[in-house]
Amino acid sequence: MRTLAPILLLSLLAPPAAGQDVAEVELWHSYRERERAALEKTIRDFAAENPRIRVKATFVPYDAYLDKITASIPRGHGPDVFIVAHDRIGGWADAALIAPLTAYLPPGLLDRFFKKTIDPLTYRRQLFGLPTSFKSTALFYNRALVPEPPRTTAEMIALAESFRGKLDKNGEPVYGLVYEHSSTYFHAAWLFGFKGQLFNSRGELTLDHPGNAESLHFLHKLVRELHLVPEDVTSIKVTSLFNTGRAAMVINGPWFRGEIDPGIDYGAALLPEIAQSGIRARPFVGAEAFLLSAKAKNPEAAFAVMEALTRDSAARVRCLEGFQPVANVKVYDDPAVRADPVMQIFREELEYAVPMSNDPAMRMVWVPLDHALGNVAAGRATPEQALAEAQQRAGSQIAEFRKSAALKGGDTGHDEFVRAILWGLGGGLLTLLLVMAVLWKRVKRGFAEAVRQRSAYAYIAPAMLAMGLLVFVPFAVGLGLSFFHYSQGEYYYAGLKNFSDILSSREYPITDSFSFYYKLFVTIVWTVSNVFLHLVIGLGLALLLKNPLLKLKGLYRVLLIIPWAIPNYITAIVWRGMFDADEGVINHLLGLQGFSWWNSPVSAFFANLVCNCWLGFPFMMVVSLGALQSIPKDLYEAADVDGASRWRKFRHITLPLLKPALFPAIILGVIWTFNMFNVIYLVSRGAPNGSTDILVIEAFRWAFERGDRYGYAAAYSTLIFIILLVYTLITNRVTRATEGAFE
Amino acid sequence: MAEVVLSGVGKLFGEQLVVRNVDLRIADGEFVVLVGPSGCGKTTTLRMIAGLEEISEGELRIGGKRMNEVHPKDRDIAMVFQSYALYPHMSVRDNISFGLRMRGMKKAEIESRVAEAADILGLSELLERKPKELSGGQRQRVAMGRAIVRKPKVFLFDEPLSNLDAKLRVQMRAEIAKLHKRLSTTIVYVTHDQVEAMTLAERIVVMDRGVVQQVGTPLEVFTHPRNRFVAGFIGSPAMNFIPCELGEGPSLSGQGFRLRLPEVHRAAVQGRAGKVELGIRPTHMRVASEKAAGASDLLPAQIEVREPMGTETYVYLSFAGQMLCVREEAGFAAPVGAKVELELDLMAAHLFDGQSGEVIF
Ligand SMILES: Nc1ncnc2c1ncn2[C@@H]1O[C@H](COP(=O)(O)OP(=O)(O)O)[C@@H](O)[C@H]1O
Ligand SMILES: [Mg+2]
Repeated sequence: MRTLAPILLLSLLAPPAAGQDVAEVELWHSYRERERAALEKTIRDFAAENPRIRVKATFVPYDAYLDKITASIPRGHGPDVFIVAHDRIGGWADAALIAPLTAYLPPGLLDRFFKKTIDPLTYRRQLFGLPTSFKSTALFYNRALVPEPPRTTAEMIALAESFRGKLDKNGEPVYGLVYEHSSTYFHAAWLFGFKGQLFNSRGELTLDHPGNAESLHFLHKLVRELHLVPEDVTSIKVTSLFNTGRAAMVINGPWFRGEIDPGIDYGAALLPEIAQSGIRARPFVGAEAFLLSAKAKNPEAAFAVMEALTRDSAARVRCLEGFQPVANVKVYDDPAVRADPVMQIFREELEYAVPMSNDPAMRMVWVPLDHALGNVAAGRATPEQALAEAQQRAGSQIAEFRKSAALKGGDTGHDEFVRAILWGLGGGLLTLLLVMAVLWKRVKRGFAEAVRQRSAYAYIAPAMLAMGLLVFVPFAVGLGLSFFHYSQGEYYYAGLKNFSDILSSREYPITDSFSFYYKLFVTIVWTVSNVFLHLVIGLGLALLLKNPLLKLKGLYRVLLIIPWAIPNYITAIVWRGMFDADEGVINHLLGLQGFSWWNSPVSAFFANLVCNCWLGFPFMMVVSLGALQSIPKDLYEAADVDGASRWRKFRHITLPLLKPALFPAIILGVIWTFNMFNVIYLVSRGAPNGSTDILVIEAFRWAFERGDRYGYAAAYSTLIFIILLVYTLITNRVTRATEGAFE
Repeated sequence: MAEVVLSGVGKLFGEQLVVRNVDLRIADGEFVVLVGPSGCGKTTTLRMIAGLEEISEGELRIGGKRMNEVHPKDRDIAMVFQSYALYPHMSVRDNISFGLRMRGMKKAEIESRVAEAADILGLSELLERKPKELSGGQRQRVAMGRAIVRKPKVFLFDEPLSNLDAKLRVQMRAEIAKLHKRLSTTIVYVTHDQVEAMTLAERIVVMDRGVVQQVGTPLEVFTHPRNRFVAGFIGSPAMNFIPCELGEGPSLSGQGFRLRLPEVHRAAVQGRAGKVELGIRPTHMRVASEKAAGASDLLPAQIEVREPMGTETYVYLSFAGQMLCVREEAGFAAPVGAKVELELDLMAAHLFDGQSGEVIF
């Protein structure tokens, strides 16, 4: 086979003989702007030279990219070739979504690439991709502040210390070093520089490795002891501080070049040598590569495209026009590329960089290690404690994952998933029938009514149908899914195991923040405190707005409804910024600069609460205002004559008469708050250590951050649904008793 | 129990003076009815007494104490609202006892008072019901119960019967009268219905456009109206008014008639002449018998409508482009369309100044 490959290739690339078919290759990517333009240019060049292969390039936004690939390839309508970062390769290879390239490789082809960009594309000794570029971090510095970049960490610390207490011309502090210190991706440079490791040579997780601990001590020193790096750092903050001349040095990747303000004179340097270990910091490097779909319609043609688009000539275009640190060795000798010192730095950094593991287990390391970094940076745990916890967390998730991977080999697969959906739909239908049977009399009356009001029902039929499809079907699928176990693209029937695992808190002790009960507790506290405050604030404002002496009521009413009118995720992002430790307006007003709200569960919870109260009170206010207006004035006059004080009028007349309107509002408020994903996900982001996460977020994280446990996550969602259902049934009964005071 | 005194009381809503210069002295235990057409300021006056509306000018005294600035709850009054204003979420018992509870009265005392009020008003069976489970008349009673348990110095009623049907209204009217006899508390009662006013009041206060027109016992107001408005408002069917000219004789002349004034009224019209209005109640006119026809003091008219009421018949006749109402015997049988002549009892008639409407006799 191997010997055949070059001949095959040649025959494909030769000019088409008359009557021969043109092969079509579908290529997906998520490149934008410069990178996209450069890629498209190389595709046009390819088309000009290869009339027998038509490349159809499709841009897919990154947010949807990976899911779309995972979903479409098995169904045979995905791409033939696609560009993706290498870290998903292991999982996709195991799930047989991508095909190994070994069969097509002509000898010597790989010589055009840096070896470090080939290794990460190799999984179980097979090559799965041809690299386009690599991305690692390096040190960027502002030339106006840093004449000479530091070569060692000692120099870096000394340099950063020289900025202590320094203010810019607007009186704002200038920081020596800014980077996302609590992100595993950025910390990896120190971790490997201290000779730490994530997995040992046997592929076992080793987060508690002593080198790792040393690197965390270093982090602790930078953030907590010397206070050189601000506590709260986000990528937006890194960019904005650098662009306003308030960050002397930042650690960032090649994409950062596109974000730097043209007015900033910047340079790039290798990450410094670590004084203690005597070796350089070793950042993670990720390779981006063309992968070949296992379902490619014409793999030979697809491979030909991959090969042509990774030649030096194409790589040169991507490097110079797309600003990509390309994977081709020779390109860096090109005079035009030589003239770009930053590109040369990234090329040099590659020598030290460590390829990210493409083992699927790696996906379960990120979050626990992020938490460990956050805990150390916030002084909540010693490096050793933090790492032990991360080892335990990631370890147990990986163990679960491997256990389920071992299930593979049964006679199951997609059929089983279809069965899962059918189960769900069938179960839903059965429930519906059961409910109808129980309420048969009412249902019969309802049908008779429906026949009588035919045309009315005809009008709402489209809406009902859409509702059914959009609500009932996903619900049924979710329900069905919760009885299954997902592993590498396939579903296995698991019975009630997901539920019993969750409810018996099998993997974690009950007091652990990963246990269902802990999350339930947080969710209840969250819901109760929110709804209580929304109600108090909303009702209070409504009472103020009703005050006959108040002027400009209309204006206030509009202003107070605004928080409600703005999409809540935007509000959440704004509040996150306002709670920023150093730059946030809240700390400025309170004189708390440097206090990080995300360091303790109580303050992080409080920040979430403030944001959600801002979002939640207008609804209660509007409802209260409407209900207040419907209370006849003469009741208050009668009470005046009867001798009731202000408070007693509120207590004995206003409150009881508001009840019928407020009860449904409270029920809704509880349900919304119980499932308020956006605020928590965007404001505290679960910090610290997921302790402020609520149940819905937990369901999300089980599905997408802890090894694709879709069934487990679906079971979580089902439990949430059941809790809310029971709650609604109970409260409905209570409200029915109170409704209709005015009839 | 106490005397209620209004001196020069007026009410401004913005620029508009809707009640002006009311002087009224309501004796302790008296039943006074404010009556007048809708919008004349009755409710406003009552609400000023209750303290629900600020007094723009003048002074209010209850039991000798100035009340202008006193909160409603400290005026020791109780009010029955036109809408009843029952607390919809409370049982009848709680509605009635609300005022007592707010004043921190002892439980046992509250119980006995509620029981007493419920007994008076026939509500004992209904104490646990909610207002929405009651009929209109029962609700009305609850509203009264809420007032009487408090044993206030003054009761204020604002059109309490206007939401009831005619039959119930008559029945409740009697009950209110009975209640007043039993409690003998000062009552200020507002209504637009002059029959209610006449039947209930010890004294009637007739109001029009924010001004008190006349104060007096029902009989006084009925027999000696101070002006054309009071004369027209009090009495049912209403008084007939015939525009005419006061001339030599002295006599009244108008379209197709000339009436000589009887001796008793001569003094009253001494030195007067010009436009006047003759006011005469339906009871003081008769359709002249055949024999009397052709005599001088008669009004020619044509029968338009007959309303047999059983004990009497009201006959409506057209005369000089207006309608006149005459009370006749039950057996009155002249056909509609018949041309007849009317006989007037001028001794019982009134004469009003054509300009000011003031009574001349
Ligand atoms: N709150 C108010 N603001 C302005 N005008 C009012 C108000 N209440 C009553 N009025 C006016 O005052 C006049 C007297 O009203 P009211 O005392 O209610 O009459 P009624 O004799 O029918 O009870 C009416 O013309 C009414 O429009
Ligand atoms: Mg009124």
